[in-house]
Amino acid sequence: MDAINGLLYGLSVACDASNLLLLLGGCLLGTLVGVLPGLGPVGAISILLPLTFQLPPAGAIIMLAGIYNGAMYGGSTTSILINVPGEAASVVTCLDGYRMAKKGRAGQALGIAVFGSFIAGTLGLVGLQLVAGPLSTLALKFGPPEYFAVIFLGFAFIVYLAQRSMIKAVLMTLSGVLLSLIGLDPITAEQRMTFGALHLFEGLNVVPLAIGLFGLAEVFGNLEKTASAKILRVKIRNLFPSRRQWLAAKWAIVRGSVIGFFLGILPGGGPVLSTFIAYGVEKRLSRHPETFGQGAIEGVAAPEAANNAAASTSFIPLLTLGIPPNVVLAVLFGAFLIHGVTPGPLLMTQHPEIFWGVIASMYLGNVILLILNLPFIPLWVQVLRIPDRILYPLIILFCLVGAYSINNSVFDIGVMVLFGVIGYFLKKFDYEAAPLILGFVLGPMFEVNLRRSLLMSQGSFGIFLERPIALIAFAVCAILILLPVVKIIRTGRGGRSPR
Amino acid sequence: MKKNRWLIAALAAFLAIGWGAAGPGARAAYPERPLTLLVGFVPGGSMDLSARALAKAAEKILGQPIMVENKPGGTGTVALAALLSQNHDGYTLCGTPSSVLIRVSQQQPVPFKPFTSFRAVIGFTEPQLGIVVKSDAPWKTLGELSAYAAKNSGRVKYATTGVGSTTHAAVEAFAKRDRLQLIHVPYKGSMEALTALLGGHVEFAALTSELVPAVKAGQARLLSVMSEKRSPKYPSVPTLKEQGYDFANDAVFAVVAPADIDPAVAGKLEEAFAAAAKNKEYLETLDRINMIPVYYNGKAFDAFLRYHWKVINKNLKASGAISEAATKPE
Amino acid sequence: MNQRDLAGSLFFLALASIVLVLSVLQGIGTLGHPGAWFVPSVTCVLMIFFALAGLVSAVRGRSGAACVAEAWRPVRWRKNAAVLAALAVYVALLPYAGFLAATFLLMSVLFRLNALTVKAALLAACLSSGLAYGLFYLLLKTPLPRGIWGF
Repeated sequence: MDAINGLLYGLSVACDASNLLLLLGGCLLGTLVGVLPGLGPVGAISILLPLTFQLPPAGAIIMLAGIYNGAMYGGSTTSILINVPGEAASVVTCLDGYRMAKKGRAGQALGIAVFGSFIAGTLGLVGLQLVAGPLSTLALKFGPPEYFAVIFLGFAFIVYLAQRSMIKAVLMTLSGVLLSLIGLDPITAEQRMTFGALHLFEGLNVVPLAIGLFGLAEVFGNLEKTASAKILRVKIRNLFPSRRQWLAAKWAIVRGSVIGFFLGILPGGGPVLSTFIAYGVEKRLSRHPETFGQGAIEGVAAPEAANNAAASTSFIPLLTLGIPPNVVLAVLFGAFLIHGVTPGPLLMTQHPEIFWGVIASMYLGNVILLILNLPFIPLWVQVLRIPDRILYPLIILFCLVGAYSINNSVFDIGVMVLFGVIGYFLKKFDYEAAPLILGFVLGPMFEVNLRRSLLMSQGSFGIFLERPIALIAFAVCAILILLPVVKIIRTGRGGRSPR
Repeated sequence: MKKNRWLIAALAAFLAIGWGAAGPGARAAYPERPLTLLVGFVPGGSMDLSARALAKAAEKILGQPIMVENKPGGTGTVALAALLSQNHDGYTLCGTPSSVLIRVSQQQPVPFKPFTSFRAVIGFTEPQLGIVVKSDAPWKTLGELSAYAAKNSGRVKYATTGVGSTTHAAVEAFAKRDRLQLIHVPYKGSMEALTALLGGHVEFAALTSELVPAVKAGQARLLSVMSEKRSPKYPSVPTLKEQGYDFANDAVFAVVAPADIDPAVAGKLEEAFAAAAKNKEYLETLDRINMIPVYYNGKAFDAFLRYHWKVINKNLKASGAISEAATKPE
Repeated sequence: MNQRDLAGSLFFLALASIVLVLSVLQGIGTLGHPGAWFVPSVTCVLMIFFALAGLVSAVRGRSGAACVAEAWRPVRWRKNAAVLAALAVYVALLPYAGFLAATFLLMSVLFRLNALTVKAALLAACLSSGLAYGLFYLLLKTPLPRGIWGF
């Protein structure tokens, strides 16, 4: 099925009444968690995953993808109006968005954020639609050595693109790998680090882990703070940007889309990182960089475009290779498995309804989100008025139910609480949790493909150098590893200072 | 569940008073409330889907709803352990593949005795197991493949659904009789193994039901099935046994109850599930998820377990995976 | 010297060393037939290497700027500890009390901790646990744990 026919078929799946409703529900929920500070898309998708158990796989994934995209849209509202990012991908939007709002231009800021998101999200989807098919065919050529090389490259990128210290990112990734090895060895069925506990035979589940690290830990972190955010009391008007603003933001949106497009595909990249880079690029290219941080419209348009483009294209490696490039997709990967569907090169031929259905529904989702966000922004602002003391206990409740219902097991609640505490300490010690989850999800693939390769080659590492794809991947790894080493030797210091 | 008793008793008493004179036999009318069917795997898998379909058919015969409850974990053992922790009154059952009782429990210590803790209500279906090659591969029969592997000793690779799985055991039986040196590349599940085969990374693969759509789409060719008898889906494809390899499928999905439930209740359940297994919708569901209907009653399933326990024990010891079974069977 | 990073690196160093020793004792197999403990060992060796690197960079890092105490200063210790304790009790209680009762109890405590009056906390707990029960148990048929009272 080529890209056009595939999309038409996908639209027929996505326009099915129940799928359309699920998409709408997902977009609404996503916007809601995007707007609410303290709960991002990772926590939200993990917590809401059990709601999709009764659904057919296509519908479930459509809804979860809707949540992801919705959160990308909703996050900007909070950033602009209360200077607190609704989720991580909107941190940068605070810089200029809040300034614009303070100057009475809240409507324009919200408007350009929504339109920028829409344009970039759609561009990203066009890319996804065109690339995914051919890449699936190519991905069949990926054997264990290629997979190992690509996952190794992924680890290198995760570390290289780390937002804070690289050493800490490596340690987090490796801890994730180590945690993922708990349970029966996939090759010899020996018990590893299970302490004989029946519940650990199949290893830890990514969902309670993610809920703990991204949901509960967030609540723990917020509970101890005393100050509460104040909503800017402004009249919101002129959501449609004027001609002059379009001209100012046009190229920012395009550049943001392109940056998001590529960073979305890279493991460890994803929406969050793309916003930082898009903002930096705009500031550097601008003819009046001094306006950045003072309410420059490009400073809102570029990162909002980047995070939506990245959200779209991050589906490419998951749908074609079965490798999730960022944390949200790592949880979605778990969702696929729970619904009995293995993402990978055969997804397109064996489950076209999911493959094309999800892509088509994301097009529709962008339109729905445009409609949801423009006229209803005042409504979302009302949500922000829910006091924290009501909100946080409710988030804890949802964390508990979400963790329990994955396996209907109280054991998972315990795991979730434990990782909530761990996540809290990680934050205190300035470690990022995202590389840990990625290491956790990629860990088993890393292990089995390494061991399968060695089984195939009877113990010779030459197998990784004989294959062109693997060789290229390792060459890129070498560059990525050498760059910071050179830098460390030059400056005599490890790690990168916080941005 | 256990604690429900008082509530139920009170309710029953209330109803009894309400109806006035209830006959002496009324109390024994099993089942008088909904049943629970535990499943040790995630929703959407073949165990879950087939058990749900069977439960739906059995509801109509028993006259009470059957609630399916997924309790994944411990490669299926968590649900069996949970079954034993509930009241042994025939209101809680568990759907399990035979592999959990006879393979997993030999490799891992489990908190039950595979032969004596449970009694099967029915063994109802088995996956479509088979040995496949890519459709553009030169081998049309298992014999041709065997001849090629003999010529290229130590170079032919095959994918299975995991070390110690039924599919692995089947290829080992094949390699043992034909004295072949093969390289085993284990995958996690049938889908990954199929991907490896279609990508040309292995010469052949031993798969479960995922082979059906691939064979249908003309991507793969089925050389042999592993069931006792030929598959109704592929009547022209020979079984391993027919071709002189000492192997027959040991993976049968069953519904089990605790061994010590009231024999009358057990009899009623066996009867009801046997009738349910003839339900048309249920059979259609099995066909859709590429499972093959079979039938074992409690006694037959017990004999099946005991026979295959010995076979698997011998195989696992020979391959060095275990030195002694991790759990005592009785 | 950056004490906070020093503590972190030491923790990972200790963790990786322990797991490494245990893994190697279990047998890592050969390259041609890598065993079950092969990858855990490799992972631990890498962790030790990077924990040492972190150690060096922490020792050479800016002194006193980010000491442990600073990160903990704005903390309202008691509240977090109380929430954690409540969650621990909840996990222990859940199989016996059942979802509805245990959750009601937990939510009352959480709302009370978040400075709601006793009355308001009880009301909010009643609503939230009741709605969650209705949504997940009755509507979505999630088999939430039933307690000794059968709900």
